[in-house]
Amino acid sequence: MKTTTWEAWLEWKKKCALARCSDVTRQLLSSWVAPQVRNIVRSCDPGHELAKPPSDPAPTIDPAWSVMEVHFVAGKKSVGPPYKESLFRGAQFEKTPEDKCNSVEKYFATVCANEVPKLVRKEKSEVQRGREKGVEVVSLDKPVGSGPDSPTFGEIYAGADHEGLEPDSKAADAELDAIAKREAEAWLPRMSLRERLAWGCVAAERSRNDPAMLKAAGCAQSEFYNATKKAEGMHQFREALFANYAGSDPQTLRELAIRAGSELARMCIALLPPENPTADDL
Amino acid sequence: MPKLPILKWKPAPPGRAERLARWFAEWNLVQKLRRENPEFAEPLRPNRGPSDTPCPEPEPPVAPFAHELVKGQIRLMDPLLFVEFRRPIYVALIARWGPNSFISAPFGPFLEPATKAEWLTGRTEHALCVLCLWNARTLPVEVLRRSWHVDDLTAQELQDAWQVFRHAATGAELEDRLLTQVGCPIVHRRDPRIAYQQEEASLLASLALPVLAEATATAVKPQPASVTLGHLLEELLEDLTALIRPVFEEHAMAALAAASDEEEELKEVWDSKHDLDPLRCIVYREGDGDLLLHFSSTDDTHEDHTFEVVVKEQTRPTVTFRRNPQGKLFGEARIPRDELPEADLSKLTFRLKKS
Repeated sequence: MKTTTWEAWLEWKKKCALARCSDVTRQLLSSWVAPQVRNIVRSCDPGHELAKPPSDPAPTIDPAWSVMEVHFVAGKKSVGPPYKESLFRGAQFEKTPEDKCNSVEKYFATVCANEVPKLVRKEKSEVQRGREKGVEVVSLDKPVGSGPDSPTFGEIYAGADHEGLEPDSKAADAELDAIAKREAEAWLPRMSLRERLAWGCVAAERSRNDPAMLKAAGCAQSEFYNATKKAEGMHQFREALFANYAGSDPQTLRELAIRAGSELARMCIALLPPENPTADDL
Repeated sequence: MPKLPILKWKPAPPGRAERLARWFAEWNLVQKLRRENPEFAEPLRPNRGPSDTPCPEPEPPVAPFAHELVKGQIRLMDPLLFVEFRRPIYVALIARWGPNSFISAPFGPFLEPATKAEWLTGRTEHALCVLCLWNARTLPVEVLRRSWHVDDLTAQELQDAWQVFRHAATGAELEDRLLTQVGCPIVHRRDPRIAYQQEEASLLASLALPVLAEATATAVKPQPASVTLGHLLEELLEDLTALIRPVFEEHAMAALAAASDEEEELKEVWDSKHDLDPLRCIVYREGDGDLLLHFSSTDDTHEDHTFEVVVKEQTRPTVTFRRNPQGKLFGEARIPRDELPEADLSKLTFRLKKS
């Protein structure tokens, strides 16, 4: 049901704030935007104050509107808030007042959808920080996404929990590189050709259905697919490294696994058939 | 049992994990809203008006754009420039790049920086909290002039933004102070921030140099048709599959690494996933203002044919299609700046006439 008018939007734009507009405009715009803001707030945080109906059933200006008017504003240069120009820009190409009004409503609703979650998230975060006396708790085991394959926060953060090496670790760094190379070279002969191609395929993000690849691996598509699934993560290689160097600094051991894995990947990628084979290659 | 040498790591700046957790909370909230509410997920596709007025100047009640562009400005872009409208797009002009463009970085959609190349500005306004330097582009002045000047970066902010940009572009180290103001690097291949970056990267793709317009042109049909850059831009915006790479990506890195923020060289960076059939025209604006028209096609019937590029009924240099080593038909024409009939490129008309 339409509740706003083009005239109301024009008046709001001209007079800057809804508080300066006529009663009719105040009522129209305020009652149009409030349910939209409340719906989003309710989805984000049902307990939020803004999610509840206003205590005054017919407020002059709904608090939801005030929130938007404050949080839309960015920048200090322009006389009027420039976001309003942005909201009205689409309306320029509409012919009738109804279409112009529709256009502003759509822009306004889209901006609401972007801004309201930020506002709620910010407030929620501040409330939580207050409750926990300034201490934020991050769960490493919690998946970062919603899908079943979502990595955990710990997996995402591993490797990002430091800022490079200290300058006095240069010699140790070179030594670790040499160990990684040695371990990869020692492991390669223990892999079958199919395993090497599978690991190379995964590391190079090549197609697993490439006929040249399947021909080189000497197996059917499903078998090769299984081999690539097994190759992902290189668990056996990692486990062997971890067992061999048990008792070493865990962070350095993890770094060794990464470097040795990269080295092994480089060797396996070198064995892959060309990506666009000629008839002779096949 | 052998022991590994001990590596000493510089610790991550304090609060990095918490900041990342807050970013994921914001991102997951938006994903939840998109899943639960189809309307929320639906970005607005702006109506750009009738086809004969593709890029009109604003008229009341919208304030005119601010045409003067200066390094350090924060500008709110015309929403009609974008294929989709999800939020007002603010960009910061972080450096002049040649005479006709600026390296411009968009402000992000969240309150926390997602990656190490996103910088927390310290500003309280939600829309200006985070500057995404990884997503910086060389935007032509013609595009940037379709925006409103809303604020300026301070000298310190500009310097910090440039440092983070150089870090994104060249890997230059960040000083400790800035390390506490950026996000966490992406190290996991299934990190959801990769999807976020793809979404954000497409935002400015259609506006970046050197492509001013790119579309399947109708010029080599039996009846040669007129094509305006504005029309081409419209088509591109309607059916955009091309992704123009951000300036920092691999093939542009060398140029940027060597460049200072005042260097006049304009690096052309583009990539496209467009289908080429039957004829594609890419319009480049070179640093000196000349227009360079690149035509390409997969249609064999154009081979060894010569066309004249006609601009406002004046015949320009001819275009001969030849097959390049990749097997594509290719031709190009240059129109010097002083021969361009229109200052406003969006109104320029050209067509191809078979010789």
